[in-house]
Formats: sequence, C-alpha cells, structure tokens
Amino acid sequence: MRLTLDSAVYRLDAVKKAAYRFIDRFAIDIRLENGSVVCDLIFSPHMTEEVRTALVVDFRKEILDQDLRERISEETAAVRNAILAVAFAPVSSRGD
Amino acid sequence: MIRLAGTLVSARNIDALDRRLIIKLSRDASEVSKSDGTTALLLSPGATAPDHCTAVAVTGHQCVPSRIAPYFELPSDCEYVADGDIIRLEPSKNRFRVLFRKSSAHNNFLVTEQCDNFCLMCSQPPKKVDDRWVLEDLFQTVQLIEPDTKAIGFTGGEPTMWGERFIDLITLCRERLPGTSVHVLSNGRRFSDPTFSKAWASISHRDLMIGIPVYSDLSTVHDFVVQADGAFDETVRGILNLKERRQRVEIRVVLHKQTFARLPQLARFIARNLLFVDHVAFMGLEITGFTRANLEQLWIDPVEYQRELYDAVTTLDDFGVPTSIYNLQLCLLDRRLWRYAVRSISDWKRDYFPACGNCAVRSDCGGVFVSAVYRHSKHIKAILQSGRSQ
Amino acid sequence: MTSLFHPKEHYERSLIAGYRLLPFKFTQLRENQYVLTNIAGEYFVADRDVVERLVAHQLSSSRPEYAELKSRHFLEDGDSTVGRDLLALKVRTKHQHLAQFTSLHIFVVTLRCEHSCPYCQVSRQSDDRLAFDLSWETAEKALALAFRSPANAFKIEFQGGEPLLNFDLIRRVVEAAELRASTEDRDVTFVIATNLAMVTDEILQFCRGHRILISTSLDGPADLHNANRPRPGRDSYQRAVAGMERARSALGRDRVAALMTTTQASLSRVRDIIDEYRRLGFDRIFLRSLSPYGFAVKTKAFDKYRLEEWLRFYKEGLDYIVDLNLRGEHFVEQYAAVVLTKMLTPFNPGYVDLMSPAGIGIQVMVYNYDGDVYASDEARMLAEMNDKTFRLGNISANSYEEIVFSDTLLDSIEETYPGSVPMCSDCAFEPYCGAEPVFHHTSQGDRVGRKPTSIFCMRNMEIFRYLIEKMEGSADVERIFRSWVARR
Repeated sequence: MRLTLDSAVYRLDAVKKAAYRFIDRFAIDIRLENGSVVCDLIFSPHMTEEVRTALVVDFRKEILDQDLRERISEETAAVRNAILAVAFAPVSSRGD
Repeated sequence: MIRLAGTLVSARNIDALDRRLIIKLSRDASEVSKSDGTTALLLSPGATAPDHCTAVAVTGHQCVPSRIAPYFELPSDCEYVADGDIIRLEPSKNRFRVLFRKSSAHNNFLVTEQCDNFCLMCSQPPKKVDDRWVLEDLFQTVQLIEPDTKAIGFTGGEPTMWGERFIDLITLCRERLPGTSVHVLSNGRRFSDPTFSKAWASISHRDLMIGIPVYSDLSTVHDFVVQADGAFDETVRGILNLKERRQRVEIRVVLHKQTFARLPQLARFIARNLLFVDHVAFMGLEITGFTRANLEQLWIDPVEYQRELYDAVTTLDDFGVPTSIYNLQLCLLDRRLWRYAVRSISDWKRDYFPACGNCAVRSDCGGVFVSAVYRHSKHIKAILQSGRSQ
Repeated sequence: MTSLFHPKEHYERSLIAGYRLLPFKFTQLRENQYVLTNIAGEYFVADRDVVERLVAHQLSSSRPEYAELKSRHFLEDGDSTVGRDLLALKVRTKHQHLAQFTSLHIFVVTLRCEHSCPYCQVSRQSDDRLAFDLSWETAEKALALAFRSPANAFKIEFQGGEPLLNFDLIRRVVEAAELRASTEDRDVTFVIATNLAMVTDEILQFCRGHRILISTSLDGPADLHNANRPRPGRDSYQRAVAGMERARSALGRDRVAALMTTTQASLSRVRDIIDEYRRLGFDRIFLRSLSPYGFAVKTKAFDKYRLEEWLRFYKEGLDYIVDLNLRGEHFVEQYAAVVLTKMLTPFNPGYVDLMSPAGIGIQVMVYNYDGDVYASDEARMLAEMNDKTFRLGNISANSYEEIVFSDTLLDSIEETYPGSVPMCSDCAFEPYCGAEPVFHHTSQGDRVGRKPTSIFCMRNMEIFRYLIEKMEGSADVERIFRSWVARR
C-alpha cells in the first residue's frame, strides 16, 4: 500500500514519528521523491482489507497529530526552557 | 449593631489638649494616676470626676464633671464601654471613636483608607488622602492594648501602602503583645516585591496571618473585580513569596454575581497551585460601601449559588485545605455546608431579622449584616428542627 | 455601574492580541477525544478539533474550553505571566524527591525458602546457610553504603527467599542502623517481606520494639493462594492468615500489609481476591501485573493476549472497588493511587516502576546475599536468570562512587529518560509514566524499548486512559479518587 504525501504540507519528521507508532501494526519504507514523501506500507498477509484501510486512516491522522506536536514544540520551546530553568534553579541562587 | 463612633455629648476643660488623644479607659483610679496621661477614668454612675486626671462618662449616668480636668461625655448608646477599652477623642471636632473593646472578639484597626485596588464590592472605599496620622496613631494604640488580648486585626484600604512603617507596627505588636494573634487583610500585591516579603518574614511573629482575596482562577476576572490591571499576577506572586518564607496566608473569596460561577474552578486552581495556603474563607456579601453602588452587578441570592459553593468547599476539603464559610446565614446554606460556617459577622454590625425570631439554630448562626436592610435574600427564615446538620 | 468603574470588557481588551501557548502534549483518549497534559502533568480532555484550533491560535476566548485551558496553564494571555511561575513551582515539587536520592534499600538476607512457588525466580530449597545467606560482614558494608545516600529518611526492606530464615542477621542490621541513624539525626524505617509461615512471638516482639512493618503475601482465597504457593503441608494460606493475625495483634493492624502476586489462575477471580482482602480487614489492594520475569519469560508466556486478559482483570477489579467506595466503604486500589497521585497532585508517589527518570539506583538499591549490588529488585531477578546486565558492582570490590556512578546505571537512566525517548517524549501520559529499563531489556532486548510493541507501555496507557475516562464520566468517582491520594 502506497501513500504519497506532499512534502510541502507533511513534514518528513512528522511522517517518521507517526510511522514509529505503528511499527507493531505495519512495516514502512519512506523516501522523498519529487517533492513528495512516499510511504510504502507493508502489512502482515493475514490482515483483511478492512483492517488495512482503517490503519491507513489512523496513520494519516497520526501524521497530522505529529505535525501539530512539532508546531507546539517549536512555539513553546523558549517558555519551556524558562520554566524549567526556574524549576531547577538551586535554592541559594534566589538572592537571599 | 453597636455605635463605635460619633459626636460627643459634651467636652469640658479641653483647651490645653492636643487635637487628637488616644486613651485607655479604666475604672481603677490608681492605675489612671500612674499612667502619665494615657489612661482616663471611666466614671461609674453618679460618680464625680477627680481634678487630677481626664475622665469619661456616659450621658444620663448623672456623673459630675471636674471644674479643671478634661471631661468627656459619650452618648447613651455607648454604655457598653468598659475597663480596658481604648478610645480616640478629637476635642476640637467634638468627635470620638472607640478603637478597641476588650470584651470583643472583633477588634480590627483601620490602617489607611488608601488602596491600589478598587474592588467593585469594597466595604471601605479607597480615598486618595494623606492619612498617615491614622497609622501613626496606631503605634500609640497598640501600646495601650492589654497583653492578655487574644486577637487583633489590621485592615484598610491596603495596610501595606505604608510599606516598612506598617512592618514596624506589626513588629511592635510582636514586642508589646507577644501572646496576641494578629490578622492582616491585604490585597497581597506589595508582597510580589521579594524585599518586602523578606522584611515581613523578619518580623518573626509567633501568630500572624494575612488574609488575601483571590476572586477567580482567571486573571481577567480577578482584575475586573478588583478594578486593577495586573492585580492577579501581583497578588499570586505575593502569596508565593509569602509562602516561600513560611508566612501564614489565608485566601478570601467574596461571593457575588461576578465570582460565584467559577467557584469550583477557583477551588481546583487553589488545590493545584496554592495547596500550601493555611486557610480559605468564602464570604457572604456585605451591602455597604461600593457594593451599594454596584448592586445590580453584584447581588445574587445566596441560595442560587449553593451548588457551586458546595463543589468548591468540598474540593478544597478533599485536598486537605482548611476551609470556612463566613457571613452566610444557615437557612440559606446547603445543610452539608453547615459544618464549615463560622459566626463571623463582627458583633458591632450583626443583626437578625424578625423572621429569625424563634429559629432553632439562631445561636449557631452568624446573623446578617446590619446593611442587609438594603438587599437580602428572600429565603431567610427560621429553621424549626433543632440541631446542626452534619 | 457608575462611571468610576470599568466594565469587564476593559480588562479583556488585551485578549484581542490573542493568546500564547504554554508547553503541552496531547495523546488520543478514545475516538475523537484527546488528553492534553501541561508541563506539570495536569490534564484536560478535549475534542481533537479544539486541539487544532488551539494550536492554530484560533480558539475563541468565549469558548468554555478557553477558560479551562487558561486556568490549567495550557495557554496564557494579556499581560498575565504568573502561570509560568506556578508551572515552575509545580515542576519543582514533582522532582524534589530526586534530591533525596536512594530512599529504598533492599537487603536480600537469604535465598533459602521453605515454599516452592512456581513463579518465584529467586529462592533455593536448601539448608546451606553459608552458600545462600547474607553474612554480617557483607551486611555491614551494605549498611554503610545505604547511609551514603543523602536521604534524610529512608527505608530498609528485608527480602529473600524467606527473610525470617535469617532473622538473626535482620536483628543485627536493624540495631546497627538505628544506632547510626540516631547519631546522624536521620529517620530509618524497616519492612520485612515475609510469608509469615515461620513467624514466632520472639520475632514479633522484636518487630514491635523497633516499629518494623510486615509485608506479607496474600494472593486471594485459600484455594488460589495455596495453588500459587506450594509448601510441605499445603497450608500456606492457613499459615499466612494465622501469621497475619498474630502479627496484627503484636504490632497493630496498620503495621501489616498484604501484597498479591497475579498468576494466570488469578485472572478470573478478581472479585474473590478483593473480597478476601476485605474479609481479612484490609482496606487496600495492589492489583499487580503478571510478572515478566523468571518462569513467565522462560515459557514465553508474556504476550499481548495475556495483557488483554490482565486488563480485563484489572478493570473489573477497579470497577468493583469503585462500587464499594460509592457505597461508602473506603477501599483503595494502590496502583491506581500511584497514578492518581501524579494526575491529581503535584507530589511524587515514589513508586519505583513508574518513575521518570528511571527509579533504578536513584530510588532503590538492592544488596544481594552474595554482596552483589543491583539497580532494582527486577535487576536481581534477572541476574538469577543469568543476565547480570544491571549488576552495579559488589560491596566488597567496589566503592560507593563506583557503584552509583557506574556507566551501567548512569547510561541506563540517561538513555531511557522518557522526556527524550521516541514516542514517550511526545506522549501526553509521560508525566504519569516511567522508564522501565530492566523490563524492556528483558522483554525486548533493549533497555529503551520499542514502545509501540512494549507491554509495559500498552498496559500503562490503557490504565491511564481508563482512570481519566472514569473521572470524566463521574464527579463522584473523581472525589473518590481524590480521597485516595490527597494529603497535606
């Protein structure tokens, strides 16, 4: 089963992270080709068509979720570091 | 309702006196003689004032003034004044104010009328006035309070407006009244300054608590209720600084139309973020000051927010935060909340309605504010079966 | 409102500028519902569409979710930034146990045991004390190592085999530990994990005098317990119950705890097991997972099918317990309580198997009868199967620094830290979960583990989802769960 995704829309990292979550359900071959992320999904032979289709739907959703996660991560990186810096500051450094 | 301040019926032999006097009352003539002018003789009915000290009498008691010593006559509804009470007299204006009553559990001292918040329901509306003399007078007053006094309170306005000078006052309390617990009401904002919090902690008072209002889990709602941008952030930071220095903090929440809806969320917010506070008090609305001006925005019959109140109180209780309900009548409260209700309305502004008459739990109930005449619940009624619910 | 006062809109004027995201993760709960967790581990359940709008900065401030997300520190707006200070404080609280370092020290005082439980990895049917008992020389060194931990308060747990078979050694360790603890103003508590079959009055007197807790085994009703724990005389259950009663009389009810082992036979009997605990006066139970070590792994008995069976067992047990609570009986499921502590409070329950970073070494240390030091009890069990990957050293051969700073330990902790590891680093449940290097090494051959195929991951995610669903579904259940974990 092949999925061709526009790499301008679907980041490669997001696709890879999404794929990782599904390794218990299918194996995958990913490559970049002509501005597309091409995914070849390899299912176990006993899986029915119904199951495969459902998995592909879930996989696509997961890619979108991964994309969202990347955006959150990028946007909140600075404030995350600021919060952790305060959280783990040694007590003595707070100017008593 | 008790009259604490007003016009003197008469004042004699006052020419040599300061504009303002703060004096303690005593029925013991020898104590008065030793006091170097800070104590006045409280005359018994029919007594004659001596010529060597200031005397105070209640009108209608047939006391006889001295011809040379200062003599002050209080109106008849001040009959309650007693030994150990402290009174401020302004002879030139013919005014008096009872500052401290030994027999009362509710002695609170106004520190200033200035405040950097402007709460919609403020019972002591802020004034931009230089009233530093009020704070300075308190240094005298504190020295006259008897050390066996159980508790005193400081309010305003915002007591911390005078910064370090207010800290000096509390320090004086620690020195002069080591056995007296002190409760301060503050908006907490000044404590967001770590230096000020540190100075506060240095007082090292044995039994000091600050009551700080937080009206919402949302900054925009809190800032709206207190009418000040940035107040929420400063107040919460103030609380954090105080707790970091192990100071005792109580959170107060006044219940009205702008605060009731998110009570459950506020309780969760406190349980998650401010779990270490020493107490949370939910307070019924007092119809005085700004509340009257904003009544339509604020008034809600307490029976209408019992669901939210129950949720909030039980959430805090679940997480082990000591919680109380002040200023709400038992007939309006969900019975399951009776155990949290405290008889909190100060004696001098407490009253009951005719409908309360033969209520079985009257003695457990705090009654209503005298200001309730302006607006009150339609559901006040006597409860007929006796005993408090669990 | 008079003109002296500003309307509410005035204090919301900065909302026009939009909101800023605070760090958070999200994972699917069921279907279209997602769980979001902030950096301090507080959760919020929302539809996927809300998550999308939130990230696109298109979530309207008039939506009810907006207020909740702001209140729970998933976003901030206007000039309000105090949420960051509060998050920092909560994160700090969650991690403050790390400064205490190792607070559970397990002394394996003997491998000898008179039972022969089929699932047990560690015991020996033997009278050879020399070969299988912890010697005083070794114990003394282990104690010295334990006291090197900076923890003000720590626990010493005696295990085996059957520890009471080497009671004299226990006695010496307790006395030495107490002496040292008093001079250093530290608080040391003791636990003996025993089947109580061999307990005597003398032993109980000693326990009473030194406030030692007893942790004993109770797998369920007699037939189940006896089937799990064969012993000469086939009376393990009777002895256990008699022992519990004696221990309770001598030490007090709350000083005797019971722990179950879950076997295949347990899986259809969860209510019976819980009722047995209730009948014997316990108000809590730990519904443990099937152990992947020893017997189970050898027979490749551990797989996804088993997990599904176990999950049914667990959910049925939890549902039953929740029902009991709803009817007014206080009874706690302890694994849930560990997770709920993380979900509902900023505190860390200190449960080794669910710690991030991993609890090996830094939370627990095991001193084996032969002087070998292991990073956890599972690490020791693994060694009994001839895999010494998580052996940190030997008490006589290695110093404290060599043991605690060993590459084995540090690499294991660092490499498996869920905050950095694939899938875990994205997972909304990461604040509730833990790294389990020994388990993953055992079951997958890799201490980081491949989480999509990890039984540990599947089991825990399902439990997290189940607990959240139950709380979302009923305010009463949420209050019950709070009663299990709230403390001050």
